[in-house]
Amino acid sequence: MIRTRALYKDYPMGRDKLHVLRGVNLEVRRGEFLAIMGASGSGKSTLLHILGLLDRPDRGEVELEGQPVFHQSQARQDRIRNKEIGFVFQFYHLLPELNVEENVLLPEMVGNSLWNWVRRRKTTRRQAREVIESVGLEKQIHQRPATLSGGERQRVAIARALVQRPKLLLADEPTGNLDSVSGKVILDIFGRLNQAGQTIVMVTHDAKVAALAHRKLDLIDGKIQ
Amino acid sequence: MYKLLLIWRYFLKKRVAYIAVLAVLLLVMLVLVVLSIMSGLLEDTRQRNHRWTGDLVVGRDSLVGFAYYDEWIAALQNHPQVEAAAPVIKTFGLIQGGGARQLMGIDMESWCRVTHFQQTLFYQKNDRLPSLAVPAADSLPPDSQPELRGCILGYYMLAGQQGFLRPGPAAAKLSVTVFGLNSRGQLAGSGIGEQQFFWYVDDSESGLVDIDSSVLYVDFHRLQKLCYMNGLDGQPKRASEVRIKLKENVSLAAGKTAIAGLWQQFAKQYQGKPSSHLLADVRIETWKEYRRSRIAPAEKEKSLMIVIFAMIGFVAVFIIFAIFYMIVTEKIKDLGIVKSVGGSRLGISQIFLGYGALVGLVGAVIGTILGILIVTHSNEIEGLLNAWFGFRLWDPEVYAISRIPDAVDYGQAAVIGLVAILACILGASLPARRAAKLEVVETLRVD
Ligand SMILES: Nc1ncnc2c1ncn2[C@@H]1O[C@H](COP(=O)(O)OP(=O)(O)OP(=O)(O)O)[C@@H](O)[C@H]1O
Ligand SMILES: [Mg+2]
Repeated sequence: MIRTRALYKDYPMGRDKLHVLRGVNLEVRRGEFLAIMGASGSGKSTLLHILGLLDRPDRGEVELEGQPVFHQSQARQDRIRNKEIGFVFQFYHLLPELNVEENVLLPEMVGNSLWNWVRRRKTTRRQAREVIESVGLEKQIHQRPATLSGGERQRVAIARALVQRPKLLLADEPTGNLDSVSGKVILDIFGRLNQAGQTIVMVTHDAKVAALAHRKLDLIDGKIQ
Repeated sequence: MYKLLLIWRYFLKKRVAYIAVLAVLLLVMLVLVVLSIMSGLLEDTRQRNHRWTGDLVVGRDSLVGFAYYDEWIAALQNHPQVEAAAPVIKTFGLIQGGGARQLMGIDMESWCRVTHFQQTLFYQKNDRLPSLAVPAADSLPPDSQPELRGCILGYYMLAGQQGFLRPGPAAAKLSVTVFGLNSRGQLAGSGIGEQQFFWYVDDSESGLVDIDSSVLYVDFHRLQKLCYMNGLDGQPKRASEVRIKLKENVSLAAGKTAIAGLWQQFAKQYQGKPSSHLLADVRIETWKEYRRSRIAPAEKEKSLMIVIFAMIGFVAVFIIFAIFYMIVTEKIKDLGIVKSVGGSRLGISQIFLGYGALVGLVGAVIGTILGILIVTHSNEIEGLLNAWFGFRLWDPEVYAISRIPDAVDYGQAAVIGLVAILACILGASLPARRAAKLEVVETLRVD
């Protein structure tokens, strides 16, 4: 479903370059739950950002369902980010001015023209409610992120990533910032999603978390081991 | 869609945006109020000058005046574009105990048709036709020509130690000495001037300070005689000016051209006749040209004000720029988030442009409404200030106008508002460009 071909990524570091990715080849099959592990600073987030089209590799290509993505127009890439991929960050990244429901609806609002939005508002709001219920936040639907706990915020972020029914769900240490109880709730959600057929790529350096996945990969020295 | 929602939420949630709105609002209000009042004053100044002058003035600078004015007036009266024409004598007189003043000899009937003189009078404002005649009073000896004895004073000439005091018609007289000139410009008569008495019959307040403080209006024929311009030296009679009122539908420029053409023909006819040299440098001026030195300063003041406001506007754009720069810096992470769910660079910059436009719109609309309210209620506000604090914002004596101008030019108001909105968009456009160019991934790596 998604495959990378020899991804390279450098960052300037003083006079030298920091070679973060040095030819990453990886393939994720449909319905798979993949965990990417590695030491801090090994380039896990960098790789995930490239998979999510948030960043570009210096060399190499990402193919989504056989289509190279970085050769497509910016508008097309924006659309892929909007429709095909859901992203969950370690630090939730919700918009503080919007309430839970509006945050979850953000991808719908970004992806639709005003006219489409108005026309489809009822359906999309129902969908949003469904995903919010699925992460157990129906009571907090009108609250702002600032009034939620960390675990609840992360569940909002998951709901936002799911609302467009993406083919691929990317998660960058989704439990890294949470206590074990909240982390468990989040992991349960991921497990349930995967059981329902959702393809998931999750970055973590917690072996217990990774145990949930079908497959584990280690990123060492810029390569998949 | 998300853009509108975000613009709106940012607008409501960001206190600093209120400051931007306030800045726009105050500026728009200020510009509108000051420009309206300045325009009102300028318009008022023009109108008073026009009303006092008539439409066109034909005359010479020299005190000698020009000849054949009766024939000229006859020619004017036959002209289809002329409504009325009035001869005027202008000279200077020494007033006993009052220094030198300007004397104007007017033929009341034609003078009142060409100018708005009657409206400026105190006693005779509503008479059928004002007159210089001295009302019969026991103290005056009977006179066969009473209209020759009176004078009308400029309002400010009434000023004495007790302020403005009207003596009442025929209750005060002035002794005036006039020096006449013959047609070659030499002192005429005995050469020591002619002293005469004039009785106060009325006063005129044109609202033009230079006129009201120095002009004494007397009868045309009497002043003509005093100045030796009445043809007793064997030369033709002379007048200083002929004032012209054009027909309603004739534009000033067209009227001036037509009258200038007429004058050329007229002057040619009198070539070689006695005193024809006095026709050589006669000028035809519109009221604007004739009163230029009094209108120009008011116009200058207005342009100066516009320049000052342009500079203030520049500062305002800068404030908005700074505020938006701050907001963008603070909101980089939001932009990263929007981008991560598929937002485009264009969309992100549109959020900030829209935000700027909204700040400008709200500020401009409220500012315009407040400005209009202030201008249209300026006199009530001034009255309240006066009643509460005893504070006179508006001194009618300084502006020679009793009310603060309170007319709003709505076209002008709309332009001011639009410029403010554009300035806000301009102020937001650079930060918006910056927002669109940002490498947003970096913002997503950290909390
Ligand atoms: N914009 C940048 N400029 C320079 N170096 C960068 C930049 N972004 C990331 N790096 C460096 O690249 C390396 C990989 O970063 P990355 O965030 O991918 O690591 P990570 O595996 O996610 O680490 P962690 O487990 O701590 O999240 C790090 O050493 C980091 O300092
Ligand atoms: Mg990381």
